[in-house]
Order: sequence, then structure tokens, then C-alpha cells
Amino acid sequence: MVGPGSLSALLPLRAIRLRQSARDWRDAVRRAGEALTASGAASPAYADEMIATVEQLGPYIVIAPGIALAHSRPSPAVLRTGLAWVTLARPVRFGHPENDPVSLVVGLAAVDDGAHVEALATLAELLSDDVRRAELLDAPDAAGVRAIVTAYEHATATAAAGGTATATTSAPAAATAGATAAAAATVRDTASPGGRTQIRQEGEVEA
Amino acid sequence: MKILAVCGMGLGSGLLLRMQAEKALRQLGLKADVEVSDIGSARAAAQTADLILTTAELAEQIGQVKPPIVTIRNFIDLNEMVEKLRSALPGGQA
Repeated sequence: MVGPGSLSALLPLRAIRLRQSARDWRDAVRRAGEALTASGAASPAYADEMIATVEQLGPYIVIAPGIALAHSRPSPAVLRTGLAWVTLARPVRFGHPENDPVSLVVGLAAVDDGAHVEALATLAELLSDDVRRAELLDAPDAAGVRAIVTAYEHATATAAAGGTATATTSAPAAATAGATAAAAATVRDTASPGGRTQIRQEGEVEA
Repeated sequence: MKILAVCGMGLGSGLLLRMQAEKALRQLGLKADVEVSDIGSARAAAQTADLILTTAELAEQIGQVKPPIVTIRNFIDLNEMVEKLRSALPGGQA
């Protein structure tokens, strides 16, 4: 079932901002901070804390090609657990040796080490599926992003209730049979040549 | 067998590493406890770990520790995790 710790519960419309302009990585993290502030998950000071994390520890938050998971630790600036989804009009470099440039910044405000686990797991599943990742990144607006998330959650909840495997269950948003086949194929063969993954193009190549 | 997933704060990317490692272990048919640690407590926690998972740049900050360090580049690529655990863990070659 889709509960209070689900991705759709922690990623409201107001925390989703598409094709934002950012002149550098600090600016990009700030966009994520603004989205977390808009949704009520954090106060404006949290953006500075996320930036400070990168300044202290380096760009390790760029967790995959093109994707940064901006966050800091629980603090008075975190008002409640929440996530933000910010895509950039132009990718920016974080200084990561392999995963730059970044075109998606996921913001995380966490009150503890547990309340965001389910949502982060769902997000990782969605992003690791080439077809769904492409759909999410191509969504025309915030409602489109949420529609993909909620469709996936309902599909996996239904599949779990039916006792069947969820790995290749396709959300209704993945409209065509071709997209489903591509999803199945890429789930089985995620090793791309040379380990390089084009964040936007892989799903299209498979399809 | 204890695997330590190390990230900066112990609640974002380290959590992703733990989730991916648990999936990969199931796929490999191996059993291990996976714990998350922040970079500040990683050296102490490493004393009782058999393997450390982290990023290349955080590995440099951890420095010399007893257990081997496996660095992960793409935290959402299960295949990378499976392959790296397969070669790093005893029994993973089977």
C-alpha cells in the first residue's frame, strides 16, 4: 500500500521543478533547497547546509551519471522529511571525476535516518530503470513526474499483493509494449559498454 | 560477514549503497549484514567490518583501514554492485 513514507507522499507537486536555470553546482543545489522550502520540508537555511556538505566532503553526492542527491544532516533547518526533484535546463558540473555533468538534482531533507528509506528506495528503483528514468526526465510538468511515481507505486503495490515479481512491472505511463520490452531488456542487461550511461538516451536506444 | 556502507552523512548515498548491496547479495546467494556509517565514524566502524563500500573520493578520506574497500561509481546500477561484490567476497565467484 502507498503510505505516509512513500515517495509520492514525500515528493509533493510543489517540490518538483523542471528545467530550472543554474549557473553552477551551488546554484543547482540552491534550486533543490528552494523546492524543499516550497514544500515545507526545510527552511531556507537548509540550502546553505547542503552546499556546505559538498564543500566539506566533495562532490560524492553525484551518485550516478547526471544525478546528484543533495542533502545534509538532520538540523533545525529540516522541518520534516521530504524530497525535491529539480531538473536543470543546462547541466552543471559538480567536479565529480566520472558522473558529471548533472542534470537532475534530488534534494533530501531528513529528520532521522529512517523516515525517508522507503521513498529513497522507490526513487532508486525508478531511476535505475532506463525507460522510467527517461520518462521522468522528459515529463512535461510536475504533475507528469508525479503521475509516473504514483503509477509505479500502485503497480508495485498491486503486484506485491498478488505475490508476483515487481521488477519488470510496467507503470501505465509506460504506454507501449515496446517500452515494456525495453524495460525488461535493460533490467537484465544494465552493463553498458565501458560503463558509460547516457542519462537520456539509453532507453531510446533500447526502444 | 559485515559490510560497511560509508557516505558523508550516513543517511543519503550510504543508504542507497546499503539497499543496492542487499539486493546484490540476494542475487549472489550470499549472506551479510550491511550497515551504514558516516565518514566521521567510518574508521572506527571499519575495525569490525569485513568489507567497505563507498565512493572513490570518500575512500581516499577513509585512508588505510583493515578491510578491503570497494568503490562504487553508479549507485543505482545494480549490475556494478553485483560484479564488484562478486569479485570481492569469498564465495562470490561460485
